[in-house]
Formats: sequence, C-alpha cells, structure tokens
Amino acid sequence: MSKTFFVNWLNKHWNDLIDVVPFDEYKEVRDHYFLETKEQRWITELSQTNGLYDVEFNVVLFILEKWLCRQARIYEKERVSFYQNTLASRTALINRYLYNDEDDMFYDFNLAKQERVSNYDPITQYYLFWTNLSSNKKRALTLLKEIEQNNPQNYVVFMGLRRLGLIKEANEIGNLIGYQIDEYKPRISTNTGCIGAPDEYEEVLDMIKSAGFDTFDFSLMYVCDFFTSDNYLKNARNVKAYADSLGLSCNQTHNLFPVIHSTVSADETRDRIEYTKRILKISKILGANSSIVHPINDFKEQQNYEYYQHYLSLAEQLDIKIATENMWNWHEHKATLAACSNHVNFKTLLDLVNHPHFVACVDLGHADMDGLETSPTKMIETLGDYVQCIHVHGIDGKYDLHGLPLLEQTDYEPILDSLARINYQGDITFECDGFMRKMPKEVHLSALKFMHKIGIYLREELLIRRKAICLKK
Amino acid sequence: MPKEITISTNTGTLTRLGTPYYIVKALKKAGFKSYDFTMNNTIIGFDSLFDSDDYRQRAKDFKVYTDKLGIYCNQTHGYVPRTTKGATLNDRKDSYEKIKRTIEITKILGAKYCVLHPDSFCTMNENIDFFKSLKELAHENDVVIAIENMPNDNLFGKPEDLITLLNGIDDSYFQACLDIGHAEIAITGSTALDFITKLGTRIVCLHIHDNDKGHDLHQLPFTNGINFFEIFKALKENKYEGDITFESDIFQKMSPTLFVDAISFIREIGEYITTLIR
Repeated sequence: MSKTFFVNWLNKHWNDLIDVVPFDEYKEVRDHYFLETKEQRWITELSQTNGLYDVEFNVVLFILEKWLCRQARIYEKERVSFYQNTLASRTALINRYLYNDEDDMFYDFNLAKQERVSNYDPITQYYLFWTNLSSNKKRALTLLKEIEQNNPQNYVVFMGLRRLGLIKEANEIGNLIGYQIDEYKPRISTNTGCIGAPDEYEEVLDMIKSAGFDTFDFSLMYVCDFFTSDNYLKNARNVKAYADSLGLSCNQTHNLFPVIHSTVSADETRDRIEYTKRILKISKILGANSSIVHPINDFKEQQNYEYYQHYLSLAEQLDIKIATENMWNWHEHKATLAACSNHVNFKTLLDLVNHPHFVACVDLGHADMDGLETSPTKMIETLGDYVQCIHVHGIDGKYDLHGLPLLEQTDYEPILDSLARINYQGDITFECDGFMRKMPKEVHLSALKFMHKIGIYLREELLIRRKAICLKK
Repeated sequence: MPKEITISTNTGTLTRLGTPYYIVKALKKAGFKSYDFTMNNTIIGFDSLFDSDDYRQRAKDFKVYTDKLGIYCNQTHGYVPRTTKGATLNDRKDSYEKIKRTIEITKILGAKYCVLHPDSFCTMNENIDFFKSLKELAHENDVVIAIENMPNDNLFGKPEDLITLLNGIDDSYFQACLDIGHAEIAITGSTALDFITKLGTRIVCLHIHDNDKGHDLHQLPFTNGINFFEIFKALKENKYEGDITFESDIFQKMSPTLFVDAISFIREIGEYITTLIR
C-alpha cells in the first residue's frame, strides 16, 4: 500500500520536484511518509515489501526524502536535519544491503534468507543512476537493451541516463515519453587570481588545464602592469593565443576593484575608470561573455547607476556584459549592508540601470554572510533572469572565507534548487582564493583537481534538477 | 634509517559508502595502502565488526579480504562509551565488553595500536584504574593502547593530564595518540606543540585534522586555522616515527560519488606531509 502511494506520487511529480508546493500538499505527503518511517534520530533499517528490502521502494523514498527536505526548508526548518540524517542513513543502508560490488548492481534483499535475490528489474537500476547512488555509464548503456519501449516507468530510464550525461540516449527514451533535455550545459571555470598574477598567465593556465578545467575567469582585480602599460591589448592577445593553444576559453573576467574608495585619490579614481574600460576591451579580446565590475560599496543605488554610465556604452559597443556583484561592509565584527548586499537593493540597482548589457553576478558566499538580511536563494530567486554569472565558494556563515564548496557551511542543495528554478543559463565559476591561499603550493594542482571534480558534481546536480521540456502540446 | 611513513585515514567518516568492505575498496582505489578501522559508537552500529557474537570470525574474514586487496590496518579506533557528566567507573564497566572486543579485533586486523578515549568526566584515579584493567588484554593481544587527548577544558585537554595518566598506568603497552585538532582547541589552554614537547616519544600515533581553534570541526589540514607547518616540524625534531593518520570528516555535504576523489585529495595532502615530517 505504502509503496504504491509513493511510486504513484513519483509517476506524477518526477518532472516538477524542484517546485515549491502549497503547505497542505507537503503535509499530505509528509504524513504518508511518517506512517512508513517513524520519526527518530535516523532510520536504522530499510523499508520492506513482502519480506524484502526492496530497491525500488527505498530509492523512491530516497527521492522523496530529498523532496521533503526541500519543502521543509520553507515550511518546517526544524525537520530539515531529520531528513538529511535519514538520507545519509538510507544511503548507507542501501549500499550495505542492496549493492553487489561484484557486478556493480543493486538487488532486493531477502530478510528471511539474509541474502540478496538474484533477479532484478532493469528499470530499478536507473533509479540508482538518477539518484547518483551509482555512476556506471557502461552498465546503463548495457541495460538499455532490456528496456521495453512502452514501459510506463521509462521516465526513470530517461532521468537515469540524463544524470549520467548520456544525453543522446536519454533523448531517444525521452521521445517515447514526450520529453526532451535542453542543450544547456554550464562550463566549469575558476578564477586565475587564486593561482597567480596576470603576468604569470602561462604557469597559471597550464595548471588550470592540467586540473581538468576547460574555462577560466581572468582576474584583473588589482592594479598591475598588465593593463596599466600601453601594451595592454597586446598582453591580452598573448593570453588569448596561449589559452587557445591549450584549448582553454575565458568565460568572464574580474575587473578592477576598488575604483572609488576613501583610500583612492580623485586622480587615481579617474585612472581606474579608464583601466576598467581597458579591462572591458581585454575581456573582448579574451572572448569573455562578461566582466565583473563591483558596485561602489558605499554608494546608494542612484549613485551606482551614475557610476555604471561610465561603462555601458562601451560594453554595448563591445557586446560584453557588465556583471555587478553583491558586496558587503564590515563593522564591529560582522558584515553590514553595502551596495547590492541583499536581494532588495541589488534588484533596485538592476531595475534602475535597466540595460541589456548590465546583469548580476551572485557571489554565493557573500550572500551567505550573517548580517546582510539575505541568503543565496533569496538573492537568486529575486534577481531571476538578471543572474548570468555566479561566484562559487563556501563560507562559515560569517566570514568571507572563499573556501571550497561542500567543505564549508554554505549549503549548496537549496542553492542548486534556486538556480534550477530560475532556469539559470550561466557557468559555474569558482572563486576559492581563501582555500587556495591556505593550501601549500606543493598541493595546488591536487587542490584544483578536486575543485574541478566538485564543479562536475555541482553541474550534474544542477542539470538533474532542471525540468525536462515537455514535447506534448 | 627511519621507517617508511604510512598514510592512513579512518573508515568511520565513510559510512555512507556501505560496509567496511566497500570502504576499504574505495580507500584502495584512492591510493591508500592502509586504513584506520573505526569502532567508536559515533557511527551507526551496522558497520562495526564487533556488533555480533561472531565478531572474531567477521574480523578474520575482513582481514583475509583486505590482505587480498593489498591494504592493511595501521591502527584502530576503539569503542567509545557514551558518557554523561558525572559518569562513574560502573558506567564504563558496561562498555568493557565492547572495548575488549575492539582490542581483540585490532589484533586480528594486524594493527599495532588501538586508540581509546579517556573519560574526562571521571576522576584521574578512576581513569588509571580503568586502563589498568585493560593491561592483560593489551599484553595478551600485543596491542598498544594509544590514549587520546580530548578537546576539553577539564581532564585530558592538557599534556600534563596524559602524562599523569600514563605514569599512573605505568606500562609500555599504554602510550599517547596526539589528536592535533583537539590539542589546538583554545579552551584546552594547550597546543599541539605543548603535547609534542612534553610527551615526546610517548606519542606513537596521530589524528590529523584542522579546525578554527574554537570548534572540533575535523576538517582537512590547511583549510582552517591550525599552523601545521610548525607542528610537523616539531614532530620531526622529536623523531616521531609513527604514521600519518587523518581523521578529517569532510564528507558530510558530499554525495558518496565524490568520496573517492575526496579521499584521493586527502592522500595527496598526506604525501606532502610526509615531506615535512621526514
């Protein structure tokens, strides 16, 4: 009975799992769930059907727990950690009882005989791919031969293949059920500043390439010869040629900061405005889509509107987008409001400028700092289509650490939900300077490789959350 | 000629991968040649070999598997009783059977050291008596009990407490495990350097992890606030000859599909640390 309810629920909702539902809808599913799984610190055994720990039932519950966790973040924050613990526990138990490492497959477990049964339903294996409990592409392709074209659960196969990045095969199944995957695939990029200075670009790009990245964010945040010298265009062309030779592309640049500040003289500000324009030209040569130009921290929206007028016509002429970023100030040991520091004043500025070449770069770590009256999810969902770039890093909830995501407190689960909800079309760009700065030079390459793996994981998680396109009119 | 350094990490942080069999297989895939087998009760019971009456046979079977795989156990983490403030020796006695099993399993797995926690809520004399009660077991099994420093502002947060305890037990089968993260927590009033200076060669094994010096975060070295360079330099000067064993739980926000990559990264940091310590 329970299994039927949950499988039917998933049949209906598999393509709208990121939607926020009304509380009553959440409550109905939650109440069914707690009839099946008693609320305790964490589950200690898997759910059973007819004397079996049933693969399908438990993986459906796994998907459901993720959904309940997502809704609980909105309606019942006190239950979030329960669902997280239960998910961790169910993962361990599925791997403990249902996984057979000899053939990398999952089987039901017979409780009376205390052993796995030998037969399997191929559809159930695709649940494991969908949920990332298995990533065996070869197995997924082999099992396709056993899938019947008219199976009503072929959406599971579609989602499993999609998770594994087997897009062509997924769309072949998708055609049978009336769904397709769009072509969006974010590039995984890292800023160059966390590795070295602009004039060390050969060594820096070599390392980025070796770590597995195919894209970079060229950091020009601080005043340096690279763009102050008359040779700045030639310097840019040299970087472009070198990047091309490695097969690397530049997705964005980070422009100069600060331009107007109490520590910068009026003469120097004039120079810095010109340098900012130079960096826009450099961005064009590098092939970047956008350049991150910070707002002036202490300016109100109207003042920043006027400030950005320095650059907009050039940006339009070059067809480079100026991405403004959420910032923060610091007072008495905590972050305080600044230009674009929360979802309200950030959107106000974007609406005020209202220019197709003026967009938002949401710095996910900055938005997670306590004291700024916002959150990464509020910022993403409020700014919607304005969000065209992100700075990916993790913090402890207080300090702007620029640590590695998933190692810090910043919770990327709701962030990925929000990015999927707004149909984010940009790249995944790391800005983990704090993480790299603390790492000894000798392990920088290893650290970058691991960062890239996390990027791939974040990309997979983002893609699987996006709604498939329904082909039926 | 100093002995070759072994890089190891604990199995307890990898519980979501499933059985101990899958965990050691993942460690091997990530390039580890050894593992620290976790048997403390902070993890869900089903992956601890000692949870059933046939624990000896289960441990033997596991040893056969790891031998075949080519990975060996350098140390274990013994059972940690759940205590509350005011716990007495009688409370510890309830856990004696489980601790006894973990020492036996340590022997079966071929490890030299079994790390045990002292009880900061009991008195020093109660702790001395408790560990003395394990003497025979340690000798019989030829397993050294490495007693770990705690992240407390009461007993066992300072090196002097461990010295008093070890002197009280007065047996060569009882030595110290320096938990670097615990030692650096500010409320202990001590540092890892204090432990290294004062305990010297009594430190036979390590738990390596990082934190912000305020909370016991069990993070990856070189990501938080601990200055590992001076600590490893001091260990080198003190002629530390033990292994590099991580207790860095960086997996909580990760999908198990990232675990092998994460463990590989830990191992690579371990390889760098070997250059600092030898």
